[in-house]
Amino acid sequence: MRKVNFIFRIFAMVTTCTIFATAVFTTFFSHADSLNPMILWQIPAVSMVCVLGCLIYPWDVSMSKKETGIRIFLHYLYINAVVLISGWLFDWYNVKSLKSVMYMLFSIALIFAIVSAISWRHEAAVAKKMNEKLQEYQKEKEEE
Amino acid sequence: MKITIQDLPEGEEDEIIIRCRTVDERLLKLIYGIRAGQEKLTVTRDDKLFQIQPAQVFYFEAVDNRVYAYLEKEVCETKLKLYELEQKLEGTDFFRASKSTIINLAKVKNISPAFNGRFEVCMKNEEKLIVSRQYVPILKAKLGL
Repeated sequence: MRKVNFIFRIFAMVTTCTIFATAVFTTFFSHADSLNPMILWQIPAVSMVCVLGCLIYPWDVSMSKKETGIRIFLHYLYINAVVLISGWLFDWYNVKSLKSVMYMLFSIALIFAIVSAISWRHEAAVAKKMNEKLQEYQKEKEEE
Repeated sequence: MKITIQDLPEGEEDEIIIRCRTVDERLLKLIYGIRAGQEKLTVTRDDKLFQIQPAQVFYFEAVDNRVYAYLEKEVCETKLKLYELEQKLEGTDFFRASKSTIINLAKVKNISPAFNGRFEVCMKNEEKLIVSRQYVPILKAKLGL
């Protein structure tokens, strides 16, 4: 159940960021008069497929820094592949336009960085609180 | 709370009797503390049997259906299963950190975030262990968060 909750929390962040990226793209690059309503299904569906890439990280096992780096890189490649292939299939961008492809790659990198930074900051804040409580806990134990 | 200590006749076993209306959390902690102080663990090392205090153990780990107790420098094997240890050490400093480990909170130096919602615990002997996402709420509750 916790895995599902975690996946949905990341999914909410990714979908929100993707909607902003879509808004920027359609306003400044595509100049389209209207959007295909199917995009309202396509964005959450592609976001969910991207979020499932989180399962590449083990839940119970410790990882070395090297292994963590490799898994982050593979996860990032997976997201690029999913978004670029889905975008091509759903006609989100023009594959022949370098500017359009570059915007897609930039958006993917930016969303990946934002979601990772938010998650890391949240976890760092929790760790800080836990360390404070840990010191109190151990101090109490020593006094006993 | 009133504490009464009575002298016992020679030869009788020491006994603690708790007289109360309800067993609250404070009292439970006291009971667990007394039990934890009394109970010893039987472990093996180099085919020899030893008895150790649970407080000496940094963490327990299950590897290939065997359970090991990691002390500051030594490693011993215990015949108890991880779930049995979890029950036996309930209410003490130990908490379940993953499917394969039980960690002694009193031996934890610090906690830092690991990737993907997990946390890494650095022990006082500099060993590093993972608290998996599933067990983070248990750690938080133990710390009163």
